Amino acid sequence: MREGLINQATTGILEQWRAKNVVAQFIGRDGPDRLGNYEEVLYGKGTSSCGRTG
Amino acid sequence: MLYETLPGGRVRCHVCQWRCLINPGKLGVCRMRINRDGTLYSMNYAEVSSMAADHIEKKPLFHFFPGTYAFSLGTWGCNFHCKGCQNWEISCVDIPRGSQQLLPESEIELTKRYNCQGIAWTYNEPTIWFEYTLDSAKLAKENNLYTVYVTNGYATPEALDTIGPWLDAWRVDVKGFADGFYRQLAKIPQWQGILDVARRAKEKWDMHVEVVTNIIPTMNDDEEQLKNIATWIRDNLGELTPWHVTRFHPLHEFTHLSATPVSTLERVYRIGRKAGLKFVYLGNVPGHEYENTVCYSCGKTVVHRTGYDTQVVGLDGSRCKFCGAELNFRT
Repeated sequence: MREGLINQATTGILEQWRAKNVVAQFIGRDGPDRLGNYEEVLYGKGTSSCGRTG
Repeated sequence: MLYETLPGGRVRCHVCQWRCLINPGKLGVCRMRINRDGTLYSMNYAEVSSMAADHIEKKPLFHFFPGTYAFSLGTWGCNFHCKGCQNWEISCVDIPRGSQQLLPESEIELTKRYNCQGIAWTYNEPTIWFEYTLDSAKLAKENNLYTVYVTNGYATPEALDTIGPWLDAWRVDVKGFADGFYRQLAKIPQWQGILDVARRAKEKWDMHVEVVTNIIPTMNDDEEQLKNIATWIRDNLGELTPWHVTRFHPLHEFTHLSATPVSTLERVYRIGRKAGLKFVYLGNVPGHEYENTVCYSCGKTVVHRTGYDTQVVGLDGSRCKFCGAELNFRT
């Protein structure tokens, strides 16, 4: 019940990021790949250029 | 932004109505603004504590793009320290190590990625990362997204006027209607400015305004305060302004209190309706009939709600599709 309270803070997307070692600020910088797919950028194989892993 | 420099390296912050006078090296009451050598810095720009694709009804906004999702973000800290805060894990702390940053450009990307129609700065007070929400709101409007502040309403008129051109909705708490209550709840000495700024949001900036009062047993459930809130809404924001009266759950420093009985909320509903408000809703009581929007003119249900599940069945733009009455919806 508590998680569903009005305006209760939820972290679902944030947790996904952490779990997948996503660095949020690189989404905008790197953008999607040439096929328009974000997955490689967001969850992909390489490490980000700044080395932060969230 | 929105501060003045004073002799002796001091500054005065004008983002919220505390208008903190801050000595060099010190923080404002929000603990997110620091005076470094006479310059006021925001420490939590883009620092995200919580992030989710929420139903707009969770804010709650019932008359604003019903059935859509709002990309919802909060940061750390708050300028209020309410004893019953349900989000105290993020509002009563400093920025922890490992906090994530999300720049405005990325925020827009994620909003689209999660099929949200707009952005809500919510969970804790949006003005405490004011510069971030301002930059984000400008970008959001360029991208045809709606923008929402879920706020305690303690922004200054200057702050409101700064972000006003890029903000669509002001979902404001009127937590009570007595000096003693605001002082006891959050040590707020002058709360009436909240009302002035809410009215300004509507009148000057044509924002969509909805009001929330969390009904806390023994604190603000007396007839006088509730009647005064309802009357103030009617006289200043209009009888078509939605008023959400929500169920309190014992949390943080108010664990000794009990959850609000549903019968109390139903009593508040009647107070609001008797005062002339056309739309009073119960919150945190999923499945209750007073979650629905019923046309005050013809009596037909135009929006069915069960919790955050929403079905629009009787709207024609902002009007009742059955009888044509104006219902104050933004769609």
